[in-house]
Amino acid sequence: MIVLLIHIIIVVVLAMLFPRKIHKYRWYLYIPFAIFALVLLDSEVNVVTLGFSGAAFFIIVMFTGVLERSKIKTKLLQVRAELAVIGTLLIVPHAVSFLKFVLDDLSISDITLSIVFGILTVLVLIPLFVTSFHIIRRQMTYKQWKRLHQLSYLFYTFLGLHLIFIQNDRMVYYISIFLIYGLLKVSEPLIKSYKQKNTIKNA
Amino acid sequence: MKKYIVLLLFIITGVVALIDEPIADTIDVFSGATNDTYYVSIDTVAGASEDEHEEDDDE
Repeated sequence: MIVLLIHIIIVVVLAMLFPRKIHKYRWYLYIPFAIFALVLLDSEVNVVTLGFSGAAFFIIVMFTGVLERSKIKTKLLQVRAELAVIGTLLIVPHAVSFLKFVLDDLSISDITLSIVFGILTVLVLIPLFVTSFHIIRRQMTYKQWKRLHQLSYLFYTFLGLHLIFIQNDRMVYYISIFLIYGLLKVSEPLIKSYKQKNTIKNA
Repeated sequence: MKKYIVLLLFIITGVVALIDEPIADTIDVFSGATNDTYYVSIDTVAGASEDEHEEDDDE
């Protein structure tokens, strides 16, 4: 878990310090990260192929959505798309190396729930990734884009289930992270309606 | 309020993980070595036993 947390801290600090630069020079980040991902496709086990690097980016993107208006949220929102794109690039070596392993060495009976949810996560991620690029986003109406990006909740669910069903020592951490996220997300409309009621009462 | 909940979540997770996971294992995995804390759990699915893993380490 420390590995994941170290990634999260580094990315959040960099995103807070250089949000404008990350946004402005995003392509100068995408290209080296894409090359890095390609190089790692055939590499041995490391923090990227184990999926920690990519997962860290997604967890930041996920929690950015539930934070209330604040300086942190504003800065993270500026680079949310960029973090999602880099996270996807970093998840490619993890997905490819494990998929290769599943196809080459496992029989259908060996396929675990974690693997199933991992595959579903990647499938849902593809349209989200493609439409995260501004060039493609511009070709859609805001409504279409917004509707498509509702899939991100499905993506977070699959990601959470993928991590939880690995059933390793980190399962409790994953359950806490995704449970708290779920609770914060579900509480949003409740808090909104409570605030509205209070406003009406005060008026 | 939410940001404090999120902050608290990650602080607690960090503290518990620091107690739970040996720092040496974290350093190992950054340098590309698996260990008891960070291992490819799919190995167990594929039928690789711990003994075999230990033999590999000895080589």
